[in-house]
Amino acid sequence: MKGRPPGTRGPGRWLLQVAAMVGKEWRQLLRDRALFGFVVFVFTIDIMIAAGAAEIDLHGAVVGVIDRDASQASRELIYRLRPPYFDVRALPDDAAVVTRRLDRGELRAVLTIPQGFEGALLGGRPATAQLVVDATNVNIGYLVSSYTGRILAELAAEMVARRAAAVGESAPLPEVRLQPRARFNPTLDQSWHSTLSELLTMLTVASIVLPAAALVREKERGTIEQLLVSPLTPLQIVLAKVLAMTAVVLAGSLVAVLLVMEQLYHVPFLGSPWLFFAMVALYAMTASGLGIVAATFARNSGQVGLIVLLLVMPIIMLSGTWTLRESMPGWLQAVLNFSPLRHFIDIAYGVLLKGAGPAVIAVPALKMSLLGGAFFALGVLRFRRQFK
Amino acid sequence: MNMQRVLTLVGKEAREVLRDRVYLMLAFALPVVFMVVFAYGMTWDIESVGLQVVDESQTPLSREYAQHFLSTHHFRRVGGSGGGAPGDAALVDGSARVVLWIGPDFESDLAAGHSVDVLAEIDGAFTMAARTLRGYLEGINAQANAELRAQAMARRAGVRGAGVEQAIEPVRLQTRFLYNPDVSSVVMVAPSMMMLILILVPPLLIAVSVVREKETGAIYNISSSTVTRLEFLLGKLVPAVVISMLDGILLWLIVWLWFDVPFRGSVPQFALAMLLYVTGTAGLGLLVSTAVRTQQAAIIITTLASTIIATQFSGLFAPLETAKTANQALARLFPVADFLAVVRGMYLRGAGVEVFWPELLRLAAYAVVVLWLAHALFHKRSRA
Repeated sequence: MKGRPPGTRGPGRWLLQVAAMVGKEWRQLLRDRALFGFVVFVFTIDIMIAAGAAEIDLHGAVVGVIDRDASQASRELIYRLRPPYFDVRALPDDAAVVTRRLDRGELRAVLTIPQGFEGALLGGRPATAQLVVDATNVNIGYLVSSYTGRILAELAAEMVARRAAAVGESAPLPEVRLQPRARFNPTLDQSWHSTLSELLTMLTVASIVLPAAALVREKERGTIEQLLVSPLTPLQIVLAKVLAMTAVVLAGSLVAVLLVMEQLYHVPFLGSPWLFFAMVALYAMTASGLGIVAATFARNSGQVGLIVLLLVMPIIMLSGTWTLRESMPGWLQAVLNFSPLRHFIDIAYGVLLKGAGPAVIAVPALKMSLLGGAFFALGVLRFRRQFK
Repeated sequence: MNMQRVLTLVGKEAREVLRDRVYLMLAFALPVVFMVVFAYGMTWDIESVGLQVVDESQTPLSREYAQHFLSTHHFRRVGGSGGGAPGDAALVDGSARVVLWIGPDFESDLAAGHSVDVLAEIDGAFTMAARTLRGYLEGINAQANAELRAQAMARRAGVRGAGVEQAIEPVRLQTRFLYNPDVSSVVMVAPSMMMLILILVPPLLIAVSVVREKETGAIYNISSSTVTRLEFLLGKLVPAVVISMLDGILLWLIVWLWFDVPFRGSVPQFALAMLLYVTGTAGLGLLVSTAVRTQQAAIIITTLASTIIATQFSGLFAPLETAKTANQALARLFPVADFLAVVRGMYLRGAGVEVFWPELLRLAAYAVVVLWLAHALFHKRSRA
């Protein structure tokens, strides 16, 4: 430990020892070129990839149409099922052919326009159109059916209104026009959401796996014994691993948010950057605590990889970036309270995209800190017991 | 290649796996835990989402209108219903995902025969959910309108029954959902999880295998022996593929018996697809293991890489057609989207090789390429 002023005592010395350990961790990471390169990739190119991610919307959904009416109105309806949402194909009126093409997955849906379709719209007997939807993909199936329903309803309303106008009934029926507006992201630009959710995912995986792998490596090679006979306490060793990796993911987040997200994709940064990055650091430490706990349960690298995966995947899949948390079963929502990401999502989206201030995020921040403290205490406790 | 030597190596690896009880237990527990938790948790249904009503008119008609939304299981009311409620704050702190603003003249305008606007503010920060929510809100609004119009018609002209229906909805749309008649998320998600789990677990099962020998020096036993590089790698690969296939069978049983999702395809064909897929994904772990120098790096890179591949390139969350062209091209480099198509098609639509032969060929090609790369990168003696 060169560079330590001789005679330093008390907390100053304690911190210097931790700092020296942090330096050692950084050097190790920098020297492992494959690992370092990958960490850089995760916070830059990977975020850029996420910006082009898929979204839940219709895009050239292939819909087969059987037109039994062959009228002007039915052609008008087919015309309105247009790109970019739909890609309409005329189908023969043959059940066997239609079933085979649906089974092969070539069609997302089949619309059958009944005979008497135009007649119904012109005031004749009501008719029923049929839509058969491939619900293998629930989201797409739902969208196809709701878009088609809306287009049909609009066409019908227009024709009814035209007819009413023709016979002199000028006053149309009143209706409630729902004006949906997306707050915080008016054009529903998918890249704002997907870059941030990818950053949170990578932040989580990296914060847990980096210290866990680093700690197990020392256990496996026996270098941990050397550390333990040195003047360092277990707390210092654990703290150094956590602080070193927290600094790494904090630096990564700075690059990802300020360079990639703001400059390249113009993601708005509404809240205070200081608050945001302070919370990132707090989150990284919390998640690292979980990594330390994982490492105390593993005896070798093979085990720690699997244990980390067991913790990480439910956290990133279920905390609420991709699906809605409130739609999950109650027992799962209760368990998710132990996921630090569940609380950090409210904080990160709140501060970055919604401009939330300290008062709004105080409760999730407090819950997250409590979790972090608990993980840390458990990690240090188990670590100390293992090496007594 | 000498089969005898390969078998000996496989036996040695298998004994190592069998002796590490924790590892062995995790190799089988992980897929089961993931399947159960994800199939329940990754739901795309809209259930009891927080909706705040800011009703400035406070009339029976406006309350009835709001009730159309709140009486479904999709939404639950949050916050007060009073006029001056801070609707925007509920969106910022996340307690509500939708705020419905009903203006003061709601009832009087409608009674006078005018149309009225109702503003629905949706939390757009969660973009994917926002789109789905918008669809649900519009659907419920359409129902509310149909009722309103029927009432108005009845009042205005005394038209009733079939006449009203004719004027309001001259053409009914009858929708039937094929393959998944209840449009249930579980039916879609549970089989898809095989794709997810079998890209996450197999690479990690094998990730440390080669690099461990490099780090501990055991590799020198190999470098001085007659074992070829290919034989050595096969010895590592086979046990991982066997465990992964057992995992796959376990998952298949859970999806069938526990989640009650019927398998409509051909079992041997599906098994073949799964074998090609897990060979490819385990091969990915082997590739990382040959490319890096420390177990630490192998674990970290494998975990991050398989997470990225599974979430970004599979089309699990949203169909890949809607992704940017570059992303679609990148997705082609990995086997996840192909296997997902095969899983969904074989499970739910009962399609087979006659439809999916291009996907199966690509899965096979992927396995071959990734193993060839691992072979090319692997040297019995480190060149440092």
